[in-house]
Amino acid sequence: MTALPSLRAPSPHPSPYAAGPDPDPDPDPDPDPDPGRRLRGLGIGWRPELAAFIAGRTDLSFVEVIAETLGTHGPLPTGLDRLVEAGVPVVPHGVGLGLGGAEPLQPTRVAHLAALADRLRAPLVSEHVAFVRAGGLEAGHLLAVPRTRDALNVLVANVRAVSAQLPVPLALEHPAALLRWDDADFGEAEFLAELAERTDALLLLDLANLHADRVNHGVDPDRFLQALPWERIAYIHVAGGVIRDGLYHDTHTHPVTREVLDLVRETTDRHPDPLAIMLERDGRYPSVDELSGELDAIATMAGYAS
Amino acid sequence: MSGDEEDRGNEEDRGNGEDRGMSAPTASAAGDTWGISGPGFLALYALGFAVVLLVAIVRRRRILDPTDTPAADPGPLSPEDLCVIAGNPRLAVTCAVTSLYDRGLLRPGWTRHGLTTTGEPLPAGASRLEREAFDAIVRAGELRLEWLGALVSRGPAVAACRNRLQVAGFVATPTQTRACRRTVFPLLVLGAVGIIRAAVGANRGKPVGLLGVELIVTALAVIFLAQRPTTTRRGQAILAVARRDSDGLRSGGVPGQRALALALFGTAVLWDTDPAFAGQLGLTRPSGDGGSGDGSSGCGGGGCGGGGCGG
Repeated sequence: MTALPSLRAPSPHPSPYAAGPDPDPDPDPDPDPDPGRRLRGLGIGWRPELAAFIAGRTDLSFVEVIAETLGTHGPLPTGLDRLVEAGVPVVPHGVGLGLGGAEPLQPTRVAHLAALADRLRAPLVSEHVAFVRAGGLEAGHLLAVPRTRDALNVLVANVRAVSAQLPVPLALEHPAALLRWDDADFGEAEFLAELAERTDALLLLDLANLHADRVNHGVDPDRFLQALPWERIAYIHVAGGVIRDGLYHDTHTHPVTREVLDLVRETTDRHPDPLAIMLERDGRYPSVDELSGELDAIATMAGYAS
Repeated sequence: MSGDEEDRGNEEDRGNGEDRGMSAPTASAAGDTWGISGPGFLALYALGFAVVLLVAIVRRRRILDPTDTPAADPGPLSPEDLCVIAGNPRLAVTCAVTSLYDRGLLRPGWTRHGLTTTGEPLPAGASRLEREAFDAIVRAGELRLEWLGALVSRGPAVAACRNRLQVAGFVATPTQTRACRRTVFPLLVLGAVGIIRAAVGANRGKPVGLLGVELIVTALAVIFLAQRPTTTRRGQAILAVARRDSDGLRSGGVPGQRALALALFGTAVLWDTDPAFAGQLGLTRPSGDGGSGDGSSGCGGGGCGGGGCGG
């Protein structure tokens, strides 16, 4: 099997494993001149079923892995271990912190994310602008945060607290929510921009979520993309979904739709230097050929096709 | 039991012990069976057993590890080939069915665990085993994997596949199988001597318990060596290489890769990644690990393919 090529620019963060017995207590002494460009190229969400597919595909530059599926001890899943050994950037992607929740953050979850970042020698970590639990109940979903000043203050405090404990930058993803709050002091992109500005966090642009917001809530993608702080975009998510009863569901188990691919093209037009972009697929896996075709289509639209 | 009874029992024990203690040296001195003392025979037997077993294992390894180059290169090996090399033709049928299913040629039928065709024609590139399985399902209308496996794993496709792999030196030929089984004869002779000694000794009132233990161990070794070898050393090597090269498939892979994942890592991978399909096929859940009636335990963990040949 062919190992993946590593990033052109390797991670600027030496991990304690690489640093030997005396790890640098401050792994990022120099301010990064371009914090949003830690990742480049085409990537994919690492899932156990895709291990062989990913190992066989030589043009992938990074992978993202759901943080909650990995432990901080014991062996890494087969396939992912080789990628880490080969120096391929692996981004832990959290789904359980609940940064938008009014309840205090769970310290074990934050510590887990930080430990994973070290273990995987990750260039950055990502999480969602969402809340996932309230009143002791786990929602099991990423729930939208109202775009109000109060909610923003909560988010800012949480993001700052998490960032302070992470050895690498945090990128924040806007979720696709079927239900939204009526109250809003900010537009969608303005809310994200303000959050990133106040916390110095990076952003993770999810084009499938943007498409979902267009279909389900009438969000104007042009306006959204126009208002984004592009210098803070760390990477882009692309995923498949399906329309049911007039609502777009961001399933990650269906093919990527034409509309989402068009959004990739639009993004590329706005930002000619291609941003890191990746496919999320979480189940009902298609054949190798179909998956390859989907990645090829994304690469072409994103300006990575050779 | 009362205190008196216990004392009496102890006294009896002591009495017997003294009897044995007094009579044992006299009896052994009076006449060792075949002129060899009991402990002497036990030691000799154990030594003989070790030597004979070692020789048998070495001979079997040599038989299954021919140094001559194979008569034919089988070309790239399919998942079905790998199953046959591992001595698991039923798993080869499971691979063929999975491959057909992944290509949209099969779907769940109306009956429990039943499989039926989708109406799509079989593509020209289908393997012979896939064709046999497909045709059997078409003829029956609907078929369970269990029955299909029983039917097709003994069919001409598997036989032809096995033949090709024997020529290539991956699967033991009938000659090798016979030669392997012949290695058990010296052990049988040794066992026979032991049995006769035990019979004679017992007849003369000698204790034969420890010799009995040695005979049981011999019997186990005979069962072990009498196993029909399926995989040659070359076959085991190619399986090991295939498992190493496709390590990423331990977690099941995507459609199109799943037949190979099954062949290399057993049916547990299907339970991990597609329990609905694994259940539809009626595969045994890996936790049970109850034998391999339908080949379900597969070849996971590199534990199979040895053919019990001391490899």
